[in-house]
Amino acid sequence: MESFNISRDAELILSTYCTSELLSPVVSKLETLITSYYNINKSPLISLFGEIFPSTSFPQLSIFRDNTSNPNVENSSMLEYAKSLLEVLKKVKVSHVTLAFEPTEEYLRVLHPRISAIVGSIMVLHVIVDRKILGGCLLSFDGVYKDLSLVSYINKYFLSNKQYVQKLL
Amino acid sequence: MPINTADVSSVYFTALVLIVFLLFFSMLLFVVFLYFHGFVGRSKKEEALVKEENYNKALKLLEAARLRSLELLDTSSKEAAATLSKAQMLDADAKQQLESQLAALATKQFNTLDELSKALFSEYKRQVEEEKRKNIETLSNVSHDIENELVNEVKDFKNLLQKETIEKEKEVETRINADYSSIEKEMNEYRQRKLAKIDENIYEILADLSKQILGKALNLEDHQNLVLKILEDVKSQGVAQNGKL
Repeated sequence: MESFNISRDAELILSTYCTSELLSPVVSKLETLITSYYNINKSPLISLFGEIFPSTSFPQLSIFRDNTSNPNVENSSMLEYAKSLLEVLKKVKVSHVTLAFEPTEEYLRVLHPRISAIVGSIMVLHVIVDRKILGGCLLSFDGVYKDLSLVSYINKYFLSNKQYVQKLL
Repeated sequence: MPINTADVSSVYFTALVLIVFLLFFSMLLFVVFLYFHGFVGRSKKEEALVKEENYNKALKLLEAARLRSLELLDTSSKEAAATLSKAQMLDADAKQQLESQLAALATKQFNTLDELSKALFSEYKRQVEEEKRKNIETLSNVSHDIENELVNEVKDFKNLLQKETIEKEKEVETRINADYSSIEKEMNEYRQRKLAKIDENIYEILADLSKQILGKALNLEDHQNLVLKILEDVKSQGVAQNGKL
């Protein structure tokens, strides 16, 4: 268990399931996995875990990387790993980001580490689409708000170029 | 002194009795004369003597009677004259008395009339004053009634005026509200039209502004790149201090 890096694995998972909408079913599946271990069958959890996080998609997860030689990880270790991972994923903070367009998942996966680097913490995105901001984005994380929208830039432009804008109107 | 009419009547009655007495006495003497004249005829001498004697007697009697009658007449005349004088005096006194009494009576009547007049005047004055007081009281009551009626009418008019004023105010308020609502509706419609027009133009304006700011219009890729660029700028410009937002 000590060989598993939960934080790193959580970051890897969040880089894929980077929004709260994407992450929510994953958390549910993890909870189901843990519950099923106690209630239904006691088959090796690694296989069940592989259904949630395919090793092909997440080869860098420590649970796979450190046990590639032994795919039959002990259930107890697997259970502890799932519990720890679930705890981290459930505690991950949400960063609200407002965009002027509907982003693709690929774009969100590009956007996520940028914003994560800015807020300085692992987080999951909650995307809001508001075309009124025209462009750019609004960021809100852990009680801090940052307006990086095109509207705010335009407003600043209005204030600094008022006469010119009035001519346009 | 007042005239006594009984005394005057007595004087006249006395004079009349004397005159009647004289006439009766004269008739008696004539009868006696006729008697002795017939008696003389029976005995001329004696008769003549007797006649003469009787005649003398008769003459004496006549003379006595005449004297007596004259005396009586004189007395009666004197008495009558006195009576008449007295009566005249009495008449003058009575007249004077009458005049005096008349004057007194007139004075008394005058006084009575004056008193009556004064009493009547006083009564008339009292009644006039009473009527005047009653009239003033009546007028005062009428004045009060008129005042009360006027006050009530003024109150009614005031209430009516207030009621009508309030109704008019409500009507005006309703009309103003209706007009205001209409104007507000028109304003909203006008605003919506203007906003719609601005919305129609805003993209053009924003496109112009985007071109002014960014140098070109935004498509999806531009949007994506713009966000990434902004985030890079934020990170590089150190807006996020210590790596935190």
